[in-house]
Amino acid sequence: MKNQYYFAAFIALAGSILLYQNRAGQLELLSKSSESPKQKIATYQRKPVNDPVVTTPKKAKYSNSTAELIRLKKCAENENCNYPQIDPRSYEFALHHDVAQFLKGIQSSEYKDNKEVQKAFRDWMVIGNGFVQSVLLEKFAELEPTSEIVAAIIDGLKNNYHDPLIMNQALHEFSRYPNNQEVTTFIQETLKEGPHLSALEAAKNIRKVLTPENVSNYEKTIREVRSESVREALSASLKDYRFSLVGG
Amino acid sequence: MKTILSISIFSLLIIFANMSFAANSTPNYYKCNNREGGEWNFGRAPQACSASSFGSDSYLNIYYSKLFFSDSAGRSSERNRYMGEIHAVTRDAAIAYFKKKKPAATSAELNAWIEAVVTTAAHESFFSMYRRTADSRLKMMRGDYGHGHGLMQIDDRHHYNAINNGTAWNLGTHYSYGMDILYTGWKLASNLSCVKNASNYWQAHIRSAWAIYNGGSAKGCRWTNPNDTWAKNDQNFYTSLTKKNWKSYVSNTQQASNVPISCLMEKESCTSTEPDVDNRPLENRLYKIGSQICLVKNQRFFCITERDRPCLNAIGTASSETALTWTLAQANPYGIEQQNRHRLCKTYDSNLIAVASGIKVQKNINLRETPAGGLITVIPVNTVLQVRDFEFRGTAGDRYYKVHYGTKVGYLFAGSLSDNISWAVAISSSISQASTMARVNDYIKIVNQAGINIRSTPGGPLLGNIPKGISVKVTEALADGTDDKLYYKIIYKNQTGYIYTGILMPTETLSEWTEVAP
Repeated sequence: MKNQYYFAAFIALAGSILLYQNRAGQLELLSKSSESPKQKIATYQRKPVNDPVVTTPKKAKYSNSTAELIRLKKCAENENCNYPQIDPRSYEFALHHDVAQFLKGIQSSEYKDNKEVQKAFRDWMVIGNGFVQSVLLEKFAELEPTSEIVAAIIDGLKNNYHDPLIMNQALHEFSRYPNNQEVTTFIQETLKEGPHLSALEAAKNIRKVLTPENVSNYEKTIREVRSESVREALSASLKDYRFSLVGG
Repeated sequence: MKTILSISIFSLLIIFANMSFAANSTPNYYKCNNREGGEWNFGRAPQACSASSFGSDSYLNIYYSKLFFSDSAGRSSERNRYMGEIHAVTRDAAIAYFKKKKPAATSAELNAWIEAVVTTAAHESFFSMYRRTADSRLKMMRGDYGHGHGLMQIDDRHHYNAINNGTAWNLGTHYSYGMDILYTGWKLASNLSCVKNASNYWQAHIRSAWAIYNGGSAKGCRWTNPNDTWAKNDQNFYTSLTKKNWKSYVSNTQQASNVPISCLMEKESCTSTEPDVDNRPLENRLYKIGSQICLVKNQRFFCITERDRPCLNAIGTASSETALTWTLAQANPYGIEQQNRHRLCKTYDSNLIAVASGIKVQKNINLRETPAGGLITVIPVNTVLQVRDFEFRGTAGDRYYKVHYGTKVGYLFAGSLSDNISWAVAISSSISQASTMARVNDYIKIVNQAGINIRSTPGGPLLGNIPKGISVKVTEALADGTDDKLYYKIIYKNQTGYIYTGILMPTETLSEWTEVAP
């Protein structure tokens, strides 16, 4: 009992010291000249990345993954969970880091036949950052293709549009939806007016989603692509595919 | 008690050691060599680290030397010179980007977009990018404890790949990448009530787009909430937007820029252009026609893709490195001779090692993501590799070979016209590394669903079709044409001929056609 008392007291003391140190660190940062123009004129300073930050990463040992994903979604909506507000993106990154870690730990047996978890996956695909989306695209690959999944992927990519790696991964998933009109329209829009690097990635790897039925749609798009490098890449990819249909 | 304390301290250490809020825990001042301070003023915002950590200085010298802030020059006049140049390039980059994304936009929207980009550059970095410091090294601006890179402050924790592959290091792609993020905010801002209902619509639009750039996609109306944790950021951006302090250093906001930034935002190799005032082809001048660069010789246009510009020296010497812009319709009546890059470049330099051939590196050589871009690793001397593509750069005939090295794919520098033999030599002995590209005497299996046609010459008369699943021996591998097609010479049912096996650029498709037998 005595030992327990000492242990609790120690934890409280250690916590206080850490809190004090964090505050002190913050005060010190606030008082010194800042590191970039945007930070110089801001009230808040970015804390060094290697400082300890108290978050509560959850392992995938919850019996109810859905509840945890919903709780984390509320953390995103309300910004009232225990994540650092030390720069404008720190809360979001810490939260999404936890979400990605949590998602990685969910076993396929937990979501393959669980509609609620799948719904939570789709919700996070829309609001998650690239790291969350990357994990989810791997999960979706294990599920039966549905219109809800494809809609979530498209909405998610529109919110996080500039990452060519996610675009590449999404194309792989889209290959399971041959001739899906929403997919074709989305890729065409990306090629024409999407972020440059994502559009270039889509043009280079479009073969993943090509079929004899939809190739002419993309060929018509070439004329509407205003980026020279995207147009060249798209044209070369489509020609190569056309060749493959007749043996080269 | 002592034991409990020890365990507790150890537990705390473990807990905190495993905690990181960043998506990628790059340390402060990641890959920051020769760090140097600066001042809170345009062009010299602190800090600055060697640019060479993320790409080759020689490339920056070719395209961006006018955009280096020189610390050794008179500070006041240098700041005015620098700001004139960097503002002109930033403005042109904003215009080029927006016209590609939204060509039918109103002039009011285009002007608002330019203002958004210029204000973002001023606010994020004081327009600071490259700087030649007192130690003569070329540095690149780093803010936010070294995490923010360059003019648009691309953060290495959030955009780790773009930092490491050189996207953020090269000003052209730096603009593309930064504007891609800003433009995502721009599109989302159009639907926000705080923008739609604002009395000054375009000002509200700019503020929302930047709030998203700064805080994420859910933060478009953050600037309307004075109690938001980050309201100060929006207020300070508003100050930058309305005061426009940068204007004190830019005497002519319409100053022309000679940097081919529109092209550099998409490609590494670009030629400066100017509009033509003459309607006839000028002998020995370069012309930009579509995506081709052409040299006029005897009133005919000899054309090649822009990245192969140095190979045109095999036809003649250009009187100027600045190309005149013509349309295909203008040039057609004079005759256009499309050049095969593999043949023309071999004529330009007979030491060029052909695609599919083996090379042996003669010294330790950096492997980069692109010819100029981010460092991947160092290839040790005497390593034998297979050439998968090549590229010439600059007037000295610098050449780069694309290779696979283990699981990595990249470009290695292999010397100039005068010293290439000391960097890499052709080798005929077998290449030990497994590859999707066959070597002479390798067996390949046809994997294309429709089989592959066998022809008497590359792309020539049809001899027959080899069905999927059949294996044949390769007696020659050659790349041909402007679009880097790869062909294998094979023997099938007593017929010798060539089969097409995919393209090498802009992306390799070899594995869609054939599979190299292990």
